[in-house]
Amino acid sequence: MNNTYVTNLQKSLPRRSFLALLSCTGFLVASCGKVTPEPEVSAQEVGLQAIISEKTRFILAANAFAAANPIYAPALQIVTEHNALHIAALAKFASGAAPEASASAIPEVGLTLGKLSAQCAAFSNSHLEFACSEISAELSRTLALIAGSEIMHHAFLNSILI
Amino acid sequence: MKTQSVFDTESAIADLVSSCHGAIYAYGVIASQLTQFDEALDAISRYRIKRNQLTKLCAELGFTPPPARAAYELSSSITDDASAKAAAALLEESACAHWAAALNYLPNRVALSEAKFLQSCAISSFKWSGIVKAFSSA
Repeated sequence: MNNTYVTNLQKSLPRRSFLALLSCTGFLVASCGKVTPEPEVSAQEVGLQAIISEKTRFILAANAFAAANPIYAPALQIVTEHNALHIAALAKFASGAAPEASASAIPEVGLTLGKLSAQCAAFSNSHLEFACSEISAELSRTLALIAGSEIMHHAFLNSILI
Repeated sequence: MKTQSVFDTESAIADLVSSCHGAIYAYGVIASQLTQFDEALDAISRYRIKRNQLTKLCAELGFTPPPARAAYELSSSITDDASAKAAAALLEESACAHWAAALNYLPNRVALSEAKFLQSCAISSFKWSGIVKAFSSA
């Protein structure tokens, strides 16, 4: 450190202010040097975020499919609205911010109503499996009710197909 | 089929057995008012099988299963085909709520099969009413 500079600075600042500034700077430097541990993300949290992400992607895909196939739009609107309600219910259990999915109006290539219906059944099965794992009782109950709704969506979309 | 408080394995299984007793009774009344009663009779068989499985599970775990009552108060009046179908849908939705509340407390070896039963209740509810719900519980 340049002593001349310090001497000049001391002249322009009152001694006490200068010392206070030095100690604050020292404290800040010391604080920044400490390693803050990464918050541990529980399996429940990871699972929840994954469900919210896949449901968000499902809604986007279903909306794009409905736009390209308006005959299915009323039925798919019910299913997507329910999925949005599921996300809202699950978000209450998630500690982190809900992941965002990029919006796309382009329908997924090869997507059919049958595939959307199969996706609903797959959601129901995997969410029930998660409900049976080591998670809180209230989240388990909510997931099980959601899984019941998802298997209804599967039956509902299948009834339109046949 | 009123919800009992579920807080452990024993109370969860007891609640499911009681639900089966109630459903078997209610489907008897429902079947008597339906013009096509085969599905209601199938549902009675389904709940009887489930009740027997759960009663066996109680014995294995050393619990005493709750007995069936002589009669149950039905949540709605069943006087014709339409009201019978509506009651059946409501009954299955209620079953979903009971199984959903119990799932977390059930032994691992039976939890997934009970989850499948919940799915069958949800599908039955949809078949009776033709209505899909965001949360499959009455």
